[in-house]
Amino acid sequence: MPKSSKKSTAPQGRAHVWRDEFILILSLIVFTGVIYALSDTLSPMLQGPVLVWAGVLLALVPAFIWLAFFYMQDRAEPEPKSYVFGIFILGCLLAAAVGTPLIDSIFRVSKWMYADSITTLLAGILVIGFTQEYLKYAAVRFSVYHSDEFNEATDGIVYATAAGLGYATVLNMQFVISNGGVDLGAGVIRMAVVALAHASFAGIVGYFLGRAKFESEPIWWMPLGVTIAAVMNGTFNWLRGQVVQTGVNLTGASTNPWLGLVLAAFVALITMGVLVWLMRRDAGVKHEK
Amino acid sequence: MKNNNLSLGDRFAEISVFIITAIALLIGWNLKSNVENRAYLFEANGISVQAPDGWRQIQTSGDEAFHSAELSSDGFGTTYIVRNIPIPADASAGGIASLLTLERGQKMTAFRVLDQREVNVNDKIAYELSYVFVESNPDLTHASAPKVVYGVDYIYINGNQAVVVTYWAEEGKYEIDLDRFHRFLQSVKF
Amino acid sequence: MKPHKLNRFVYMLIVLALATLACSGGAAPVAPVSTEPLEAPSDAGNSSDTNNGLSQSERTNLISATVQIYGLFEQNGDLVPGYVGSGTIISPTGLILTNAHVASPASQGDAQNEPDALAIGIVESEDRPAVFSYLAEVKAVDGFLDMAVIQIVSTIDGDSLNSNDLNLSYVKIGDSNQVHVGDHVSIFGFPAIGGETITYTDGNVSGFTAEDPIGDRAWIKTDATISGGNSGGLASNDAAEIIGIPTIASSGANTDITDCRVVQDTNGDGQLTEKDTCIPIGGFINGIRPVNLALPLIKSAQGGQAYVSPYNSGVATADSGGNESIRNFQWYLTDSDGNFTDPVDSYENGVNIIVASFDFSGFTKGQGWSDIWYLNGENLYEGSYTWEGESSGSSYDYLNTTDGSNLPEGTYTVEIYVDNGRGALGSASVDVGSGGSGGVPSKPKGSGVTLFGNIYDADTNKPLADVYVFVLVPGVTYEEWSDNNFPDADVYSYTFTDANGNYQISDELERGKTYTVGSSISEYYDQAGNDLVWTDADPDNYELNIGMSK
Repeated sequence: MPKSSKKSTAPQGRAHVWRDEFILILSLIVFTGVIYALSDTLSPMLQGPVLVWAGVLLALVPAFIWLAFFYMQDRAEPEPKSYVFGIFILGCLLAAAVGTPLIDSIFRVSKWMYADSITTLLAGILVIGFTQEYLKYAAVRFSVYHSDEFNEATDGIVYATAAGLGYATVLNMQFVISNGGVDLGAGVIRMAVVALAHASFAGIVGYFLGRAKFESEPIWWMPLGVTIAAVMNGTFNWLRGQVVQTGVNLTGASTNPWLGLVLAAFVALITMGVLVWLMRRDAGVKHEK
Repeated sequence: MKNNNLSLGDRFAEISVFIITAIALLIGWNLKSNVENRAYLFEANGISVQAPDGWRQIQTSGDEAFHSAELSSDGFGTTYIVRNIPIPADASAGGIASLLTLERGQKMTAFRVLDQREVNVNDKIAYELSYVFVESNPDLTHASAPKVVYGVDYIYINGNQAVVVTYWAEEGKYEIDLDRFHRFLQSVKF
Repeated sequence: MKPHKLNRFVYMLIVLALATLACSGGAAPVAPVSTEPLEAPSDAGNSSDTNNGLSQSERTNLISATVQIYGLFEQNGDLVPGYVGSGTIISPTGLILTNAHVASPASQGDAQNEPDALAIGIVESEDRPAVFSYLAEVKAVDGFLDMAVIQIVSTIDGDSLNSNDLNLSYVKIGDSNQVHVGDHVSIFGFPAIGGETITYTDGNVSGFTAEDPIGDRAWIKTDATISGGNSGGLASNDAAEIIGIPTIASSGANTDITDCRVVQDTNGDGQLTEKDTCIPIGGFINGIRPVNLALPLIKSAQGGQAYVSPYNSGVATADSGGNESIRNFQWYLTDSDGNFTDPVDSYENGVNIIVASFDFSGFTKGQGWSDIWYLNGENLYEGSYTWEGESSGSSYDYLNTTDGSNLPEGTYTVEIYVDNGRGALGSASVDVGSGGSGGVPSKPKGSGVTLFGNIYDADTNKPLADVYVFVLVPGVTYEEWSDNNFPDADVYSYTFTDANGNYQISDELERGKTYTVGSSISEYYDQAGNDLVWTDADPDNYELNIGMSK
């Protein structure tokens, strides 16, 4: 590993960030494929509470993969582990304590958002998107943001991703528990989709957070970041609904969840690409100064 | 490297993110009430109502002029019914209420009247009859718990007809959806 | 991996595990509580508290073995109770003895009231109504005797079960020939529909009534007064054995509860109908069918054989010899000249003719006979012919397509009848292909398509209950229906899924018409498809499963 110095903000110094994200996408797809292939064999063995616990374990996997690779970095100056892990937990707690109650109990979104397509999109952005992205932002902003451990622009993305994965983990657990255990094959696809999507949107929030800390950005900068992430969040869920729906034909209607995973992986890769490009450009601009 | 002190800009940025989120949620709340109160004009059988959008229009039978129910995944679908019951000239709203009680008592499981009184709705005198009953699927192979349903009838005397506006909703939903029903009730014209 | 990193890794695992607990907010998954059916207290104490010879524990066992039977009728996809009767469990594996008019009104010529299913209510506590726990099927029925044996086949939810695991309380079968005038009888049953608990009546044997052609002991008369729903219930002797079935509604007559039964051909027209004068089986005294008459039914039900009533609707008509029989069915392949080639147990897909050979005897040249062909249980073809053959020998019957196309895949059944109004002389079944649809059939037009299937959550593969499944009037699209605020008038047929997500649309869809089919439930996207057309190639029962997503 190249030795990174404290002063360097060059993206090479944080190449592992991109590598972690890429590994997350790749290993999630591989993992989903493996579980899906095994689900027919495993499902008969898992009944009742065991199935629920299996689902809960599955829900933890995305965060585990990412954190595992993150912690196994051999780096001269690693981010303090407790901070990244703490933010992950904070993301969990905010989702469970604020996000879900607000969206499900106060807004009762699922009762009315499917009224028509436009409503689905708008509710996805205005209620679900903003709530979730604000909470991910808050998890970083009101904890580690002002500390010395947030000393590079890329740190924003690392911490926000941790918060995003925390949020996704809670959503996936709630998905498992409220359904009393889920079919492993179909369930793992949905969990991978949720994890990829939330990590991606969080990445955007994180980029804006990093820039906000180290550059003097205008007042609309951070609102813009959260808004972009919220819009992507709502649009993604709406798009996923459109993509997986096949309509009823003579062979029945089998929604195709794999298309949702393809979409999520695509969104995650594009988001990552754009963020890498932005970070490189930012670094380039800085070097020219 | 920046220091740990909160700069003025930081504080403004913090507030601005909060404000934008609050605005989004406010618009979202508006959207929610808008969608939930969406209605269309239903005119037939001598009445006109603002009927809830997206509900099933159930085929009217007997003296029903309008019958609509929500499709619900969690039990009993909230229902609005408007009936036109022919009555003798000297009938009173209270008398119609007794008739309805008898009719419902025969048809419904565990039917109990909770309250009855005269009220003023939209400058019209109406007789309000609230009750509770248990709705259960008659299919023995259909394993689902019976639902406790709250209901209320508003009885208006209109010449030789009694107009009865009915609201049924499951226990947990009755209060939550009551406002919406009141808007529906006020939209009933005959 | 270096050791210290391994430690780090393990440490993180522990923390992650803790985080799991934290994140799940303490909402540990709840183990579903499995409720076991109440053990029948068949040997609950040796109480000395006797009542006319039956000890308390004997009575408890008799009560546990008495079941309530509901005839269920399908309405909009729901099975709704239509009538009620009683029955007696006679084996721990769920064999139940009851009246034919309770189990299968069709066996007494009342096909209109034939239920779509039979539900069995078990007494779990004598002070509470029976709990409907099982569905049963008719195994043997004799309309003339008004007796039937039915077998529990599944739980009330339709989950199949192993009858050997049922281990139900049951009543031993007594010997009704050993019943004497003045003996004490105890009668258990469910007199009324809905919400009523088991009722006990007692009385004495007051005599016997003869009935043609059963014989002298066709009825046991009792002075116990039994009301309607008791029909099919349990009449026990003091040894806690079943000696008969309280039988009230008369065969032939309609639903009137009567103490008067048509038991003899009084007008001499050769037929036993309601035109005959009924013979009272005694004032307020009711009839009990002796259990010995049921023994042949029980035997064939246990052996899995078909039961044929020896009492063929009264006096057998003499038009045909009545001695016709056919047996030894064998399916054959044929060559292009129509000659038999090889015997087969099933046909490959792609045949256009199937042939069944059989041995026959007792036929008379010139007498009428007929055949009925079924495909997957649906009537396919009926024909009536004149017998041209000898009185005994070998013959065959065949089914082919008129245009040389292939027969559709499925299970074919042929039944052979002779014109004496009796049931089929014989029948045989054979599979073509692996079953299911395929090929272009030449089956008669007019039979519609029945839609059935399962609605599930596409993200969890779990079945969804209470989903509204609809078929719109041909020509109406989902969008048009939605734009008109979902009027029922545009709905051709609809139903709701049951607890297991299953549905069946009760109205048949016409082949060749354009339908819109869909499903709707709150919190999910509606699923719908326009322009669905079923052709003659599609099977009569068409499975359409729909996955729904959020």
